[in-house]
Amino acid sequence: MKVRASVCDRCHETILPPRERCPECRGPMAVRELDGAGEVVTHTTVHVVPEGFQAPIRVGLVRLDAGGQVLARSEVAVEIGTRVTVEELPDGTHLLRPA
Amino acid sequence: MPPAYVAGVGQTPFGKVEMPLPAMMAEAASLALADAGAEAVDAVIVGSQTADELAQVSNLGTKVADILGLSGVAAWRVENSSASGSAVLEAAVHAVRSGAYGRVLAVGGERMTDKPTPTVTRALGRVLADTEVRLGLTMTSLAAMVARLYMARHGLSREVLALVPVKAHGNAVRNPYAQFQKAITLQKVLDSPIIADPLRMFDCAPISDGAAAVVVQAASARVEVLGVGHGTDRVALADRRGEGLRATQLAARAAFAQARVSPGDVDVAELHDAFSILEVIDSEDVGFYKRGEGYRALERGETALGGARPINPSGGLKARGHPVGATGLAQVAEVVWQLRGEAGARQVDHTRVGLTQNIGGFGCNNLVCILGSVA
Repeated sequence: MKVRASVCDRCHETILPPRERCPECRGPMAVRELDGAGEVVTHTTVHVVPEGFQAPIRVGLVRLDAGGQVLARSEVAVEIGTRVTVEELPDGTHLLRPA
Repeated sequence: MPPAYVAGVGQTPFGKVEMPLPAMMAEAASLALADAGAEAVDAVIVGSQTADELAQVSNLGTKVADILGLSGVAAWRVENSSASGSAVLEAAVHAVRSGAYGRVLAVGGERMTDKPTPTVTRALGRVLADTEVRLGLTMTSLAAMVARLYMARHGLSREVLALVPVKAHGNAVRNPYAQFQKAITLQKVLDSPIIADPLRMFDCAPISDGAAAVVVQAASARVEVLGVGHGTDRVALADRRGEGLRATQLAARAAFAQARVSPGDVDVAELHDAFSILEVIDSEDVGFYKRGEGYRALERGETALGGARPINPSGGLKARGHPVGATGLAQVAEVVWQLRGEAGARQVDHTRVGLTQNIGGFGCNNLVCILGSVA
């Protein structure tokens, strides 16, 4: 599973979703397709959600093996350290699944 | 750098204040002007996060000056999300130090309780990154993830984390300006509804109305602004690197360098505990404790009233209340009262140096202010 990211030409920072300029060093960023494999850094289940959303929302912060971090929704419970695969959905948000 | 002094401070009670926002801000300003013994100022700077959306008012600087009878002077508004109050203070300090204005009135305020909670939550949530908003995340969701990570990494238990709101409410009992002048038990925190696991309702600051004001001037007064530091970080939580809030770390470094004091010199502090976990992380980011040791100091009682360095004697955002644009200036008001020995039943002994730390966004635009008594 591939996810779109950008990598800074200057400081090599990886940011998702892709953007033109590095948030840190102003360097130009190049779009890359990264493998979605990674590990859950932290997570939460949100019980009080904004209007237009349905509770509960499960979300995890994933550190990709290829670099960069992304917040992704999950349909199942995960733990810190759970190995996951991140998928980019058509609306640009991300979904994680235990590997 | 030329000195800047705090000549006067004031605040309205926090909680439910049934006044239009400009009048409420003028009320706090009048108290600060009276405290300063000042009739005139050279500029008015105001701060509010949600004035347009929730209070449905703009041109706030001019309106506050007009109500106060200060028409004619320069007036403007600073919006810096939940760090609007501190950003107003920073602007006032630089305006005075530059020599442009001799005396500046800094005012922050927010009117929030007259709107339904989902409306307020949506207004506050606009500070987040688009990627976070589209997932349905809120400020509390991000704080929950930060809390879980800290707890796992450093061995902080859910029970010890609950000591933050318990301490806050205990202190606020002694603060007549506080929204909740009522002590709570550990069990009450642990039994409160889950908002975003592991954070519960009593881990979160409330929705509040209120205003606070500070008079900053070039002429000597009893409290000096020793340093103001300001830092930012990447907006999206996923884009950040390293532990704690870098924006606070940068702000603290700058403030301490200006002030020529060190974290060990600080006698009393007001830290941004919008969520319980933040007080612990803030206390490490400003340099009071090493990473992973902030909660141990809390557990030992070092940060309680009567401890070695009390944190949030006012009750903090949790119990004093969090009218977002007012908070940074209310923190300064509390520290000034502490330094002048005027904090009543919550007075900390032997205060010479005090610190405030105010967070904007979810931890990505933060200010630290260091204040000292003038001998």
